[in-house]
Amino acid sequence: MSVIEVRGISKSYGRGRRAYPALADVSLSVARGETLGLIGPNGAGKTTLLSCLLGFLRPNAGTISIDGKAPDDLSIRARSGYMPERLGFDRELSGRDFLAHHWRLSRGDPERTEEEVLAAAARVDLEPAALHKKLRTYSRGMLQRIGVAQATFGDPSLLFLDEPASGTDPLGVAVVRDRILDAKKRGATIVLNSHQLAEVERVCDRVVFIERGRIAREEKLRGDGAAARRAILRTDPARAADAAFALSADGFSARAESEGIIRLTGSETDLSRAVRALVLRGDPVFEARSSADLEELFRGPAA
Amino acid sequence: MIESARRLLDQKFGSLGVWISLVALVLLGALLLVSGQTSMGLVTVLGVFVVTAGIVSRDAASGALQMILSRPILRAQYLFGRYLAALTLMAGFLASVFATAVLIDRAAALAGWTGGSAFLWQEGLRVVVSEFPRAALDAAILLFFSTFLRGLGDALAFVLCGIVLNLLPQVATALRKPGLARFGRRLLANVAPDGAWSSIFHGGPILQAATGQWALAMAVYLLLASIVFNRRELSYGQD
Repeated sequence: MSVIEVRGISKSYGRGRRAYPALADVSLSVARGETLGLIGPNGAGKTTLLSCLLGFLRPNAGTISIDGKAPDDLSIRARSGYMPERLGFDRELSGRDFLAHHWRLSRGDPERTEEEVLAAAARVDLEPAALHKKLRTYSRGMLQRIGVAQATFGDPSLLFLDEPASGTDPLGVAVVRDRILDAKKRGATIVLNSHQLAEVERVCDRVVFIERGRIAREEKLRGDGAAARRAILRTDPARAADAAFALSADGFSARAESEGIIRLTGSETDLSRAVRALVLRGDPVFEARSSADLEELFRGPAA
Repeated sequence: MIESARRLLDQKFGSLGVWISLVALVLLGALLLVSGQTSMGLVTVLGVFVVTAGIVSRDAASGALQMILSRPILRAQYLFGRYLAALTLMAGFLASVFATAVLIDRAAALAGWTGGSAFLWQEGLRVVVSEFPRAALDAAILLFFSTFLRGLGDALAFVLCGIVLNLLPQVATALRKPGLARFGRRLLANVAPDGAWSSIFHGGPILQAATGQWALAMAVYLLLASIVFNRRELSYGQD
């Protein structure tokens, strides 16, 4: 069942001759509990779409509904979390005051403010001492972490995240990813706008590729009908050619390369079956990696 | 609304520049009162500027507004919460001016200084109290401009409108255009009415045309601010 329904929305900036179309006839739906990734080049319309979903911008045409209500309905906002690409908040506020303010704005129990602020900071591995520092002293990575902390206050069932891991170190990227995965486990519906394709692939169930204000392509990454994934299996170099031949004979699309690498294409189930087949043959499997190759989706021709 | 008001107070109290400006204005206003002035004029307007300029536009420019409005609060709650906080600050500012004037007067009396006009605290109190409704109207005008102009465009628009409205009758008179001069005076009386607060606090009738003009102007500015702000789109970032 769809939570978010977008039907034929168009959005232009400016008027008359200066009108610049940012979105043109975009339709999509997001199922409850689904994580949707928005990918595309700069200026493609991703942030405009996210702004329309949040009710910050009004489409010139088309409709958006979230659980049958307008995006800016307060009951929707009460169970939404949002993180902007850049945390442009009062830089003179301390991290603690920033989180406390958002806790109260999200209708959190004022009695539990301190407890929730500390818990939110802990969720994103932000030291308690950092909470007493002003936001202007925070690094980009710390700002992203505290942004994720405020977005996940009260375990929202809807999350809108705009480049949540942008500018963070590898540890920060992992923290952000873990929080998104936590929200997924809780059954939250998530819309993620990101240029970090590897992260999008790790957390998203589906991606839409937006180009020049239109949905150019759509790819399912998990579940039934998921796109074919590319995988790399690493086995004993001396046995790689035989192993690839055996896999091909079993119906897999497999090709041996140097240093024991076998390249495969197939569904996630195919890949696990291939690993099992190799193990049963007595071939060692030192490494198994798979990806949906979103970069190719990014580079591919418009549909 | 309380949260929105609290945030404006935090923003203002957390800024050294605001403190320095307000303390300087408090001293200036107190000296005007002690010297027997019956109006604080520009001091109050500057106080309103320090407290209210960029009241919405700066949040919109920084992206804070988008984060706040993604929470379950009405735009009107945000808008009027900030306006109420600005009024609270102005009330505190005017009270500080009066208290400082009393302290200066006492200190001068203790020091045996007898120069200047005699300060009557009742008269001083009337002056600061009558400044408050004027400040409230100026803050409402700035709030209105701030809902759609960027950065400190609200303060600029306020100053430009003030100059144009005040100069129009004088320029029209100089050009011997009595009709235009009359129109200019009426425009000024309706767009930025004075309210005749001084006469009211000296025992004059409350229900008079000037009070009605003030109340109508307040209602119109606040209503327009609310309508414009509710319809406003909030864009941010890059695609």
